Amino acid sequence: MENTIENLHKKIISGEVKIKDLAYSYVEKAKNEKLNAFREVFSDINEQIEYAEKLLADGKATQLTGIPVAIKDNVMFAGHIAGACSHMLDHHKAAYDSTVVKTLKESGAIIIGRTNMDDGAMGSSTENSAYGPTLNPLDETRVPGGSSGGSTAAVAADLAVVTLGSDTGGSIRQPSSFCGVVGLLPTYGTVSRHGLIAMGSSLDVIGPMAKTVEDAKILYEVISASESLDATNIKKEDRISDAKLKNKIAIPRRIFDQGGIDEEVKENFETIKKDMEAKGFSFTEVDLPHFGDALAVYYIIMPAEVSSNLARLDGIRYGERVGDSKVQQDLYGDTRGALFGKEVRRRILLGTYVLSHGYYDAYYNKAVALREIIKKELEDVLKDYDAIFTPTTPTPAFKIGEKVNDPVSMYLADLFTVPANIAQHPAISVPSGKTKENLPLGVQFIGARFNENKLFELGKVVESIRKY
Amino acid sequence: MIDSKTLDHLAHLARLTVPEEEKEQLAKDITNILGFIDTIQKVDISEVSKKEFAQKNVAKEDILAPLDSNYDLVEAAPLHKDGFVQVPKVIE
Repeated sequence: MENTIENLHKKIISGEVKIKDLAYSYVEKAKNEKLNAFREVFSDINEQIEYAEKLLADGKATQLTGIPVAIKDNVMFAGHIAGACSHMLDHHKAAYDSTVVKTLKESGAIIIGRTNMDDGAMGSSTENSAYGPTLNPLDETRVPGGSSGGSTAAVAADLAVVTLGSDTGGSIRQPSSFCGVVGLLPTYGTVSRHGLIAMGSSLDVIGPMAKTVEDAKILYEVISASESLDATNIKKEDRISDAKLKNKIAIPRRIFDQGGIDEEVKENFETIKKDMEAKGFSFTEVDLPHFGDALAVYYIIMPAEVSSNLARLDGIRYGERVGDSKVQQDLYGDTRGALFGKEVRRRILLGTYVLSHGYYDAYYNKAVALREIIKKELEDVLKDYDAIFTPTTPTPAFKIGEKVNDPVSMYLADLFTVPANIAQHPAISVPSGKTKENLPLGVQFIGARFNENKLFELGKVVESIRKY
Repeated sequence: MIDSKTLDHLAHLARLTVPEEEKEQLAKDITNILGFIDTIQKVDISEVSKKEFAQKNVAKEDILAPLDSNYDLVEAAPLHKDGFVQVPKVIE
């Protein structure tokens, strides 16, 4: 039986599985893994185990009590290193708990370690990690996707029951698709960003990765419960959703017009569509004329926010300092130049360019305006339909080294995932089959804001019909 | 097209020292990315009134509450002494 929250929770409640044994069995697996999925396996989990045991003994166990989870290296857990897999933050110890870690701890979950990711969450393969790439557990010559590739590989290889990642342009859904797991981008503003090392603040969302849709739902419900300490968090009473599925799904017209979409990805998408039609769902092609512009908009807004957010990493306040410069200006430049990874430096310079005098109107302002148009298009379509349906990624997992020197081709991996971030809508990636080479494929549903429940229902339909 | 002069200017604005041997490739990469994002120049945005979104505050109101953890942010600085962050002289 699969090690899901649901199954393990039953065994914990019945006493068949002891919390401590379960936690240490995962610690052992995580310590001995060869995928480079974990940056660190925590050695101080006994306090968490005792707290979980107490919840259980007092009859207050939640579904997450005693469940081993792992967190991405950009999520702060007080007293532990949170390094965003960047040399800039090699020794950065979290001074406080992020809201998501606080809620996980309160639920009695056991946080066993932190996972590998692209430097500063910038990348689509984990190859930008300062500590080397994570290997895809289903084919170790391939990338697990990124930037939350360590977290998805950990779930796929059962090194943790569920994990947390963060998604700015696809960083939960794209690696979930590459590793054959479920990944949810929650509605922007439903999960507190307090204690997440910021990348693009109008885009970043923390979300779950899991083996099943139900597990993703359980974890999402826990981490979205708190409203604290994030100025863009939306009050629970303002999170209004439609109650019922209409069984109507939209597909962006001419979705495969763009080159570079793998034939097996197209076939799998059509198969899932047909099987869902047989179950009573209707699919309609709709006009979303600017859906395809989202990626270009993203590569303006995101680097602009990156260049501003990362200004705080200057060799003075956090992390590391390079050189013994007597001049403050040189100290900034030398530290930042030496410690940020290549992709991070590329994005900072690009962000600086689109925000600079003379280019601000042509790039940044234009992108912000276009973002509003994309938002409105998605909102309008989702008034009539339950979700917008796409493959999660244009191709299955690619080879390690295949795209690392070609940034634009790497960016295209986020073609289908970026629009949801731009519009701040929720989206789920669900495993939907495998290629002839046995590589996982995934499909994505983008929902109306706050309609995660519909996405879970649709995800479960795909789970019931997917072909392996 | 990003030339070496523009790249140096951006690097200065961003306070980011770029090693000499990386400059050519970096300028090329950024030029390629700009070529890719330039597709948005074709899009007509006249239907969106700038005012409408530029002046919308999305942040919720602040609520005063006691801090429940013992922040020690000076400890997070790479160089510190007696509770102060150490920095080089700004003025000689």
